[in-house]
Amino acid sequence: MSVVLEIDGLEVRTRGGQRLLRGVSLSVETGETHGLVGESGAGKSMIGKAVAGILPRGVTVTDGSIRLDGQDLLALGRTKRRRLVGERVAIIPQDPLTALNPCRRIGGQITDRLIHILGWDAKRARLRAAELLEEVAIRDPARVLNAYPHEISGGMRQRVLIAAAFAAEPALIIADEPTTALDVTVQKQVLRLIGDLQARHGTALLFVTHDMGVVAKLCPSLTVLYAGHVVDQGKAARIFGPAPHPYARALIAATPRYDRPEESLLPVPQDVIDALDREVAQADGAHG
Amino acid sequence: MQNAILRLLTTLVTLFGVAVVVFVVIRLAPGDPIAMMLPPGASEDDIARLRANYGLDRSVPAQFGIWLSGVVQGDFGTSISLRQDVGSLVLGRLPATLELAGLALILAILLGTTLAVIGTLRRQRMAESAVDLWNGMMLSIPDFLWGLIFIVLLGVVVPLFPISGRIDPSLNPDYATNFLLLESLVRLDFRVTADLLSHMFLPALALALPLSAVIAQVLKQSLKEVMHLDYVVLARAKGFTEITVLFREALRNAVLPTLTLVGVQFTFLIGGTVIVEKLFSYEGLGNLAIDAVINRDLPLIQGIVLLFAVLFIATNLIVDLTYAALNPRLRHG
Repeated sequence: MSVVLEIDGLEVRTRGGQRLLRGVSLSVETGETHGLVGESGAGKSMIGKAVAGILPRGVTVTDGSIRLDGQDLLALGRTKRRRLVGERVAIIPQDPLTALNPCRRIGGQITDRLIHILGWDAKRARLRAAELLEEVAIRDPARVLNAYPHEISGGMRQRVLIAAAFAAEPALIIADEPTTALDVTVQKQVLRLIGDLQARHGTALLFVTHDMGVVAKLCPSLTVLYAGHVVDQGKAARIFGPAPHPYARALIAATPRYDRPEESLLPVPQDVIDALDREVAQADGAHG
Repeated sequence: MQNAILRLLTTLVTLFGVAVVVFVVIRLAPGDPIAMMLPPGASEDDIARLRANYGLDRSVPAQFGIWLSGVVQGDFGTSISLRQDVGSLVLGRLPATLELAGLALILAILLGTTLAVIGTLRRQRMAESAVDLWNGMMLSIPDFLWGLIFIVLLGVVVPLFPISGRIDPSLNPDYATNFLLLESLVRLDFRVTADLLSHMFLPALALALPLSAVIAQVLKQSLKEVMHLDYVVLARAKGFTEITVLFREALRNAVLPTLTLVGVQFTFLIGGTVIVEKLFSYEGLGNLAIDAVINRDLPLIQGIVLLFAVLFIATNLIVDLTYAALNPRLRHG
């Protein structure tokens, strides 16, 4: 197996100097699913955005490297980087209601990248889009391709976005909390769908979520983030095993469970947070 | 269907209201059309006879009744100063004004959109500041002042453009309609087209500049908001350049809030034609309106104002239709 994405010592800061990511390193191999977990504000989405080159205005990578298929993205020129990312990386966004352009038909929004970035001819791209819609269990692909986003349901829109991400056979897919905006019944279907497609297409998947339950099901390896700092990293079997990092244990305890409700939805204990803050401060000190 | 009927009814009520207000106001204003027509030494008898002749000796409500019954039958009365049928006089001038306002609108949209796009693509750089500065300047100088500036600079100091009239009289095209510009294009009579455009360019630009600034400002703001939305960010991640993203994903969504405002501003532009046409001696409705007011030509003023009201209402209707055409969410039902 080859490494698709390799991030080393990634530092991301706002223009005001606030550190959003503190020397994050991780790697994802072909066909592997890597989970990125942490509370909101931990910087997990920033990693995906830094890779895709869509960091918000005023936020920049200040140090470290991002290698995609062995090429250092940060060393590439803007145009080359945009093309490479467009060809090799796809994103499954968080909110399906805002991630589709309300003024454009679904079909065009799936095929535009196939046609304009990958250079397919329109007919082939359209066939491919219909094929992918069938793969994500949309029964009437021809109708959906011609529909506007407001004409289909939220769950269906998320499936459209998943289809769009896989359509171009990218090497890496970044799924940025793809189930957060969906209701629980649809969440399960969507997760299974992403897992199935990923297994079938052999795509590397970077799965960003705050939901330990989802990680446990989907991700064999994961990175736990706190305040932009890697707290724990490794095989899920170890982290979900008998002796996890205290923060990972606290995140697991914070996950809702229907079988044992009294043991779930617990807040992260203060002593764990204090210990983490000390750890981060120490790492900062060591960094200079 | 019900909507359309309701809309037609409200339109009629609006027009009636406009007619009443104008009818009363121009009769309350000082100045007497009869006094303008007769030589200074005319006898009381002559004045009274002429007054009775035009029905001006009756009460205002009675005069309105007579005028309205004529209008219902398509008769807008006879111009006092020009002694011609108001209906045909006004409709004869309308094409010239529509062509001028249309050209101004096209210029304003092109200019305004270009500025908004430049300001958005070069955010937080010199170019954006330059666009803002330019907008402020365009907004603070009214159309007729632009007209004067153009006449002095481009008509007199550096005579690049003609500054008077609609067309060179020596051309004298023998056309079926008074839509000279459109008809010359249809007939491929480009010598006439070029001459018309050279006459229209300065007044159209004077009308367009303030509107272009409004369009640029609102569209830029709207684009700024849209450029942060998820689908735009997603398109960026797909590998598209910023300019492609702007035109394909953002512009259409950003235009929607701009459109309503452009509609309102366009009615101001039509209002602006009154003075600008006079400045450039352009034979349109506005020019006719000023002459009518100077001569206290009551039936003519009445007819022109009514036509302006129809234009304003039509503009709003066109804006609504365009809005529906651009926004797929409004299309069905």
